[in-house]
Amino acid sequence: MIDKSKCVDCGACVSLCRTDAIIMDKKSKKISFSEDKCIRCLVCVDGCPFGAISIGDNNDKL
Amino acid sequence: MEKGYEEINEKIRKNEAVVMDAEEIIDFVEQNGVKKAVKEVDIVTTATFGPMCSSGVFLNLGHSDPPIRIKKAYLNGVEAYAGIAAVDIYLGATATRDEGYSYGGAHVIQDLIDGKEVELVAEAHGTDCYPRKKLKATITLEGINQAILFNPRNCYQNYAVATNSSDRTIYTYMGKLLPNFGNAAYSTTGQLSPLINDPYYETIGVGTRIFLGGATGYVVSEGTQHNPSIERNMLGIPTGGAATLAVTGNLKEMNSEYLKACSFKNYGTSLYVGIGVPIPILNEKILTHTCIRNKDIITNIYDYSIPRRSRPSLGTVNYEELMSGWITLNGKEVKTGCKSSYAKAKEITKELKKRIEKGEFFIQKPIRRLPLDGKTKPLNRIIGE
Repeated sequence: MIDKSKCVDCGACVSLCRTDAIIMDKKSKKISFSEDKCIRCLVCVDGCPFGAISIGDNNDKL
Repeated sequence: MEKGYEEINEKIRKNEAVVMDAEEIIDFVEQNGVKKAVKEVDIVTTATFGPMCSSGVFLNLGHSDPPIRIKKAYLNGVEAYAGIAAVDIYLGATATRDEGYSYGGAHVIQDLIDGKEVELVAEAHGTDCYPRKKLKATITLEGINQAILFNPRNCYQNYAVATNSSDRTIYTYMGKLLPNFGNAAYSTTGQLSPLINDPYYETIGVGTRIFLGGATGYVVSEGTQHNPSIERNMLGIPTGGAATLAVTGNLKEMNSEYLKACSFKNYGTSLYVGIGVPIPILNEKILTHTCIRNKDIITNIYDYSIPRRSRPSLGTVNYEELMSGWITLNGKEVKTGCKSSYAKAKEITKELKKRIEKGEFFIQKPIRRLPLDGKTKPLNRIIGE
């Protein structure tokens, strides 16, 4: 999950996501996260310069 | 047709100035033509919001009793440079605590803006006039005398794209780069970026009034590593990092919405700085430059797994391709991500536009132009290994 209070919509995480669970809206250039597409690979987590990404409470797929 | 700074400022005073951001002006000129646009539009707002390592703040802490001439200073454990005067220090955004890279000068700056108390530890050798040798205190932004943000190098005019050809993940100031060209990272806000919209520095110069971290700031000179002589495309846009700006402003008036601390894993801390620059539409040439589109801004791609000063270019790409989310590199589709926030930069262009329209922000004619020549020199006279 992405903590929107920390996220600045830079998009550093977008290129790290293999499943398009994190995308940038083409018009607004804002980031959105789709939990259904996320496979909890965690590649994006340490790529966020603001520590805005965490796996949340749902660890089922880990 | 030529307009002057004072003429535009008079319109701002009367709340009559017509302001557009660097996206809006593209459509307006396309629909109405250059002649009508130069007559009707007074200012184009540009902006960027990205990590700018070369940032920091001068602080005057006030004198204790007995007083101290500080030789070493630490703010929340982060060392600040104290070789200035008794209680003047400079805290750099990239200075970090000894134990790691997650908290640094940038975080102290943000804590101060957010009104938090910061611990000050200082040491001195003691003199007849400044006898104290040790000091432990707390400071707040409100309680200290001055806090002057002074950033020696911000606002790069274009920047290269980073990728990684090696078989391991690398962590760089351009962020996390996955192995085997697994992704590509770019920076700058393309067609919104200030110096892209004024490629020959006709309006952005020494003394230009800007939006800085939510406050009003100024360009004080060309920035360090100002490198305007690099190759330019047919529209005059440099194809890599070229001009830079040194900027200053009062930290006490800034807002952490527009000045944010960050940390890049295995690299260190930096400060995201929000900068907005108004470009006065003085003539057709200046207007035409503000109509630059992402597809016309080219940059080079470099392999950051080569740990050398100069890396061979893997090719060029434009910002429309970069912002599409994918580029093609050696026949392979590579996912792209940005380090700067286009959304936040767009917000800054809107905020600056609002301030100008409300008569709260006036444009300032530069007192000196930025150099159009000159080249960054390498450091070659290395002694030993």
